[in-house]
Amino acid sequence: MFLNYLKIALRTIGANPLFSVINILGLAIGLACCIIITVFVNYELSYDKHWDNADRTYRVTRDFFGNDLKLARIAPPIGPLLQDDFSEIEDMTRIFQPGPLNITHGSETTVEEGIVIADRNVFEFFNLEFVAGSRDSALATPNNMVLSERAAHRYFGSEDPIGKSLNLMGQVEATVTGVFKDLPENTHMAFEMVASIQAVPGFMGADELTNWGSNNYFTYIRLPAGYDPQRLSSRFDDFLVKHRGVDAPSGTALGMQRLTDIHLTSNRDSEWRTNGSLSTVYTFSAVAMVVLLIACVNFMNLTTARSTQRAREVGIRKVVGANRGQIIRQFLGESVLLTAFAMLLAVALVELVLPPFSAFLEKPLSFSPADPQTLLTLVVGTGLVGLLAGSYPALYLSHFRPVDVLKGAASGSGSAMLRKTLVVFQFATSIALLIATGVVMAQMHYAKNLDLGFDRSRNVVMSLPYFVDLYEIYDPLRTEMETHPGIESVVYSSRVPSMQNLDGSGYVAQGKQMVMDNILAMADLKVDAHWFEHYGVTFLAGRTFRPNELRPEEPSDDKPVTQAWVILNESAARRFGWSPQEAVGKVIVQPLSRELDRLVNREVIGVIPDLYFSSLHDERKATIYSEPHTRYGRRLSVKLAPGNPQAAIAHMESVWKRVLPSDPISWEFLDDRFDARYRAEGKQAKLFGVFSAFAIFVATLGLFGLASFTTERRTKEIGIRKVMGASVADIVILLTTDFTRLVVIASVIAWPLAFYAMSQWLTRFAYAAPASEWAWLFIAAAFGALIIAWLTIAYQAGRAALTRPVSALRYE
Amino acid sequence: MIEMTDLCKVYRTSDVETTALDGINLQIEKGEFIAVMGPSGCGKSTLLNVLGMLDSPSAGTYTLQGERISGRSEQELAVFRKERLGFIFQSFNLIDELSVRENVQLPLLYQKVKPAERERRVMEVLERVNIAHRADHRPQQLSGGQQQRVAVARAVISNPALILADEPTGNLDSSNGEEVLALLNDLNRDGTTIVMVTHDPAHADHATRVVNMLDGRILSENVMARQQMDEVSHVS
Repeated sequence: MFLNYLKIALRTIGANPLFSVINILGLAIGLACCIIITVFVNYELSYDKHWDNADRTYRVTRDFFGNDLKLARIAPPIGPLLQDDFSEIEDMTRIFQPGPLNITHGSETTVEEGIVIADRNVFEFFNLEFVAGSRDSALATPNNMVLSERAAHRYFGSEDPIGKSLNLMGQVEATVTGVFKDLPENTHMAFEMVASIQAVPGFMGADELTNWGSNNYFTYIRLPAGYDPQRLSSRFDDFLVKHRGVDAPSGTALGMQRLTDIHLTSNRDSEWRTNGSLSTVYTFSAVAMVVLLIACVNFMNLTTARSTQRAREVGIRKVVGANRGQIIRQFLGESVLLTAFAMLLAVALVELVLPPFSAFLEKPLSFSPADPQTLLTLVVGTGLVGLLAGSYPALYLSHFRPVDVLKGAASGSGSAMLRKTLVVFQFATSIALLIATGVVMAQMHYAKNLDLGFDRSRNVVMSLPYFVDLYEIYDPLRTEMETHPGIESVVYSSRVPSMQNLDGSGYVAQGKQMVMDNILAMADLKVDAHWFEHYGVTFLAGRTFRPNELRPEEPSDDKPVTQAWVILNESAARRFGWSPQEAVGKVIVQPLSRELDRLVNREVIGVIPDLYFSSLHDERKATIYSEPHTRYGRRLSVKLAPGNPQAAIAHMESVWKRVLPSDPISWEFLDDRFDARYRAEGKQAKLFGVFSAFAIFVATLGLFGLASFTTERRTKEIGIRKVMGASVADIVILLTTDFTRLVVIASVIAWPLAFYAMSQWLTRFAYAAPASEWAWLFIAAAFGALIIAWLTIAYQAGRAALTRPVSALRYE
Repeated sequence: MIEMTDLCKVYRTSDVETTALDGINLQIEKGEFIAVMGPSGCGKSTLLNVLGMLDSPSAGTYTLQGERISGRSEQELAVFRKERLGFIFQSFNLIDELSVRENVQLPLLYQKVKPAERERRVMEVLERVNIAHRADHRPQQLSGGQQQRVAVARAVISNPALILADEPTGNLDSSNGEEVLALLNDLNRDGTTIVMVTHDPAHADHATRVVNMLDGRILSENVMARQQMDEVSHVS
């Protein structure tokens, strides 16, 4: 029996090449999309699951309420104190990621991005495998350093790195004591070199590890199996009260994130790197399912449309004794067989497309169909998709009564309504995907072209080394760089635009009582007096710093209250309750100690508009601009003159080399940094575009098949109409009107769905493109779909309309 | 063998009601060859469809080999069909995608007959209808007469108690028609009960009994001499 079915199926596939190609190609594209997305989703879901006890390991986080900071890192004393206070914490480790640091090996200095400073138990905590050295004693002393295999190879080639030394920031001569296996890519962490946290007091200051304000340490804890993490986190406020006073919980809070949830659900300030997003995973899964569903719909539509051709066979089989179940099994078998062909093609497509897809996403995705589990999934998938696609046709075809079909009475008309509904579904989803792609692109365009409140063009930015006195190097750097005609100006600041500004402190308007409740938390940006002019920022009121207002004095035991000057942005002025004009001349007080006894009285000398400082993802914060004390101002911005920048950049590099001979320069164009902030969305837009194109292509394939079928069925009608005097245009209009109506209905359905979905998506951005920028896309997508539909049908309709009526009638 | 009592079949659409069978009372004994005659639309085919369980009666009872057919499920009817009935249609109704051999063995597939046994019976019946040399051809490669002989082979392969033939010669020229009728005669002589719908009085002469229908009713029944039928068959 099976062989009989197989024979019929193979011969049916062979006898109807157009339908078979449409079905197999459509399903193959749908399946390939699904396989690729499944590979991607599995990879995203695999993050951090490989660590020992990952399900009971948590990261401690910290929020600040005043300036709305949600930090992934916490202050260094918190971890050990938590461990002291809560006996259920089995283990704890801290990792400090200081950012790029200079490493000198022999005579060569390089900027190392992947260096971290960690507790000595970090390797045991994450069960990192060592390939050289002893894991337990690797960070036993402050000057020890442990490298990943990759880093060890980078610095020492094939030599044994153990016992060799590396110089850190010109400050610490570290000895390599161990080499661990490279971290897998699928972890939220990223490091290649680990120095000991015991070295921190040596170069960050003796009080760094007890500083509650230095929220730079990723802190991980492990809880007992089966322990409810809520039981611990519910006592965090009491912990803060105990260590920071009764007011502490009103300004800050601690939280916990399960290690395995971080990659897809955490989007905090100061993450290791940009994490994935659950909504992206969901969105792409949904889009892949849609493409597959559209392909399944093609199968359903084309099979039921051709039902008259199969009806007689069904009738005969029933007459000779087949029951409905046997007929259903036969048709399901056929669709599973067809799906199996499609799956083979899909696997080939995936093998072809996965490497570029993987490179595009910058993730090491792999797919091995020979792997038993993958193979089983593919087989089960083939069965399920085959059953899904074949279910309706099987039920529909098997219901024919032999007495009707053998008389030629049965037709596909019963399922015409359903076919139309399915075509509407295909086009509605295709149009919605087109709109979605358009809106994502519109937001990208909006982000790139929005007036940020400052001029970011022709700027080159770079970090200054940690352990040099800004005041010593700034003037020579600036003066010498500015001698070149290709360099317009050079300024410093604590952070450059495009960076998240996580620095902040509290301020009280003068005249108000100096108590915790009156302190307003604001973002701080340390800038040079020329910064505003350099970035083309206009003042709403007041002016920039004068020479006598630079380099303010810090409060000290001898002089607990000092004088300084600040510039506010509009939001900051508003938070104090002032208009820009009112703010100028007012004094705000900045407490610098917990006891509120060391104060800086800062006179407001100017107010500027709110700038889109980091990206459109982030709210424009109330920000206080002030002149830095020595430690700040670690970034330099160099504005180039219009024209070829190469000579100016060469000059910039040579000046740097003269002033800072032992520190390699590392610069970036500011425009590139801004573009990078939208990279994820940019990639998402491109992927969306590709998937939409697939969805539309598959839907178009189906429409082509359906149009060909409809035209074939109406050959006689077309002949009669032509005999009666219809023109070619009349016939084309006749045949396209039905489908046009369907596309119009599809548009009307797609519009509200797409509007809702994309409005939700735009809420990710603190500043989203206004609807007026993308409303036209709704009409454009509908017209796009209509034109695609017309072109598809026009070919068939034109062919039928140009046939001589006599052959059409004879054919019937 | 067959007993129909007060059998009615009414087709209803939203505004028209058509009575196709109106109080049919018919008894058929084992081994009979019945010809059903009458003008177009008199209900001949409907009667055949009800007999073949392709259609269900609106009222009345239908008993086959002592078992009541009315009111049974589609599943049960499928079993009856495959075990006891063979069908021959005017338009042959062969499956174009299958070869002659595959078409003929179709009923045996549904009866789950083993492959070797299937093959033996297929060749036997193909030889009997004199088409064995075309076993691996597709239906489109055969003449009308040959196709109908394949259809006859398919109808008899499962040794049905009853063969229902709906104008089996309607699409054939006279010599091919006679060949098919001769085949039916042979089958009948071997004990198979046959009910055949026909327009042609000459073909009806092959039957042992002729049932004349008009407007859904049986108008008359003429019992013909077996001798006479044999003579006709002999002449052809």
